[in-house]
Amino acid sequence: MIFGNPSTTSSSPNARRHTMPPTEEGQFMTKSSPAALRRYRAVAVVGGIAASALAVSGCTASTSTPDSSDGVTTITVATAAVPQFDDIRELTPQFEEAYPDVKVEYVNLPEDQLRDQLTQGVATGSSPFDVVSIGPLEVPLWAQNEWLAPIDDYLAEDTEFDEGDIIPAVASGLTLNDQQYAVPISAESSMLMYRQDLFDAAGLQMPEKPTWADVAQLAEQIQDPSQNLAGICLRGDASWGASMAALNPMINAFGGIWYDEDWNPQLSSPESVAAIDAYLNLQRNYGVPGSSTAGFPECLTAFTQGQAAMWFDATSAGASVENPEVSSVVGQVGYAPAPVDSWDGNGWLWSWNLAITSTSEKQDAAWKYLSFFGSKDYVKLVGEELGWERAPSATRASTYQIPEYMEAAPFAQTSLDMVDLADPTQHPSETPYDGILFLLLPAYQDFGTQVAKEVSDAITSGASGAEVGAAADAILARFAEDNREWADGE
Amino acid sequence: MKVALPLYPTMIVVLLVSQLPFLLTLWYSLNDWNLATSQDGPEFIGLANYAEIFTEPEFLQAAGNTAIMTVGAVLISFIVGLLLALLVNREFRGRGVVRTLLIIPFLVLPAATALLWKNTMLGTTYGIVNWVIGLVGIPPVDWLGQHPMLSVIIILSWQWSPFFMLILLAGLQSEDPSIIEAAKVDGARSFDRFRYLTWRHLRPYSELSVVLGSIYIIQTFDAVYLAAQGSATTNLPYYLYQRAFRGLEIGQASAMAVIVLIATLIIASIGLRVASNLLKSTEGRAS
Repeated sequence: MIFGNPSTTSSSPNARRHTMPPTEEGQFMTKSSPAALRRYRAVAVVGGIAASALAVSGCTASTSTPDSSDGVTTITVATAAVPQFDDIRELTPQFEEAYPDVKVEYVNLPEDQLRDQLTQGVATGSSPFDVVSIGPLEVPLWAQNEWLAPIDDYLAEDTEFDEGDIIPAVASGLTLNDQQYAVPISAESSMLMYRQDLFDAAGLQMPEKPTWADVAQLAEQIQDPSQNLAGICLRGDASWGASMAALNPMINAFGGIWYDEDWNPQLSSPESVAAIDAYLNLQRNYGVPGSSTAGFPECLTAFTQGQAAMWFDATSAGASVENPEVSSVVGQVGYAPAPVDSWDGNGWLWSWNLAITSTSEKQDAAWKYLSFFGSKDYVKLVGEELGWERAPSATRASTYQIPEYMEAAPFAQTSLDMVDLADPTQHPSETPYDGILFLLLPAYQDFGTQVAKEVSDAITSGASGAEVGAAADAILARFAEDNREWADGE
Repeated sequence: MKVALPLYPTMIVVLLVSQLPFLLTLWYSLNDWNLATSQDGPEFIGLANYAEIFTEPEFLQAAGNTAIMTVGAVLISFIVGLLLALLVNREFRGRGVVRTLLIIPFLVLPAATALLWKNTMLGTTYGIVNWVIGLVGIPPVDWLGQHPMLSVIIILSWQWSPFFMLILLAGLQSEDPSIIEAAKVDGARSFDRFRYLTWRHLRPYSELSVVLGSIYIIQTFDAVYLAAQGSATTNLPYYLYQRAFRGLEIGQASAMAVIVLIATLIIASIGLRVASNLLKSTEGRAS
């Protein structure tokens, strides 16, 4: 029934015939008396998952002409429910003031839902969006499928934008065949945040370059269940953006990889299993309550409300940790590099980017949007309007020359160092794929989520690292041939 | 046979709207087609998708989960619904208000229900359920993490009990009070009156509520997607969603949709038979 939903996609002007596999709904209605009730139920289900798609298809229908008569172009932008985009939405009136001929409409969704919606929209050519917010996993893959419009011409014309200022590690992930497809509005690696005040009170010291063994030991010493204080918060939800985001840097650190050069699955190798065991140990023994359903927002709440003494997550989290509006631990947090083990080139590299869809008929207006929110001036605008700790991090080298930013953001240096260190083409041993936080393969969303489920389940089921590794390898084996074909086909 | 000419245009529209998408689904299910990787579009592969599905442990597990979830939620909803129906079938002051309040869970949007239970009720740190069991000294439980299937069944039961209550209440109201009176005069105890009279009278209503409830609950998506994602709760609709929108495997997902359709049709045809029997028997009594 979740597909029995043709209105959400086919009402969009660009919809091809094949939009979506329908199911029994239509069948059933012709035959049965409870059809009416069932229809409401189906609508409710569809509404639950695709309310925004409905809204969007509605609004595309009304704005499908390139420019309305009064010279104002309305662009539709899909954003992820992360703090960086909250800031962008908050400052959109300033954009509309600077460009009175462009109006912006937003569709805001949680990360996972956003990804599902966008992929489904662009893949079927029915995307109602002019601008999409996507990560470095999607940019090259989508560019290859010709779902995104290259922005080189705009970059060449728009001299003020200064793309040379963008941090190279971030910019290089947004290209395909030397063409640029997206503008970063925030970039991040991973780091370890810890409560300096609690560590001081307990007489504990965070090593300058902690190992995962140090972290486990510190977590044991600092945790205090009677005070509702967990040792560490790690993402654990069953999605590749959650539990795998925490586990993948650990697999790298312990020297594990996903596939060897012949596409043999490697998650049950001793290195990978050691990493999984270390992760499960932290989650089970020192994690926050409900760690198997925790993602970024849950950990943010736990850490900023004083329920976790450490938090391993994105460097961009620092902006929220130091924001007095959401955090009760401002100024009490220390920042350490991502913990290591046998291999120290780990960490992750992620960025949030704005890109223009190839189906958009308003690309000029869309570029105005990209250039405004990707600019140096926007960094300053956030700093002055919303507080310097919230300024977009690790997108532009010039950001780190702003004294106000460096003072307001104690995590700035760690964040920049970790992003500089992160290199998605380097792995502990040779691999046929790129990517350290994710695998740069079109099927990663799929098999990454399946592996994430195994990991997340193991937190509560008590399965060992070896069992998780074996189950994960079985999943990887099923995808090996597809992955090889795709990688060789390039 | 009569020819009802004016009806045909409507029938053609209905057929087009309802059957054409299904035919397309059938066609897709015979193709290998991944939106992200199949650059050349669908490729005909016959029944390979179906063969693959039935050898896939994930699909079988999802089918098993669907069965556990449906049976569990229907059973609990039925028992709770029956108790509530017996309760509000009695005369007491404020009965109308109580009935209305009891129906409310059924009227709440399923997505809202799932989020309400995930955060307000079953949340580990701030959840009401943990607060209540904390009053009697039970340590907090990570409901959604430790007992995902139980949590989903609880959510579904909360949501669907009113539905069972409504159908069973209709049954209770249609019972002839003079028969109960006669049994009372003959000295039957209240439990026996329920067992030998009311329960028998309720049987067709029970069947109808169970069949309709099963058809609805089999399709549960919101509670799984929003409250408890994970292998332990992945049912067929959610697995289908994952194959189609996470995996972008349109061919495989279509094949699954066809299989789920067949299963639902089987249950639905049982339901229709029950419903028509019920209609016949009430008609018989009325005449």
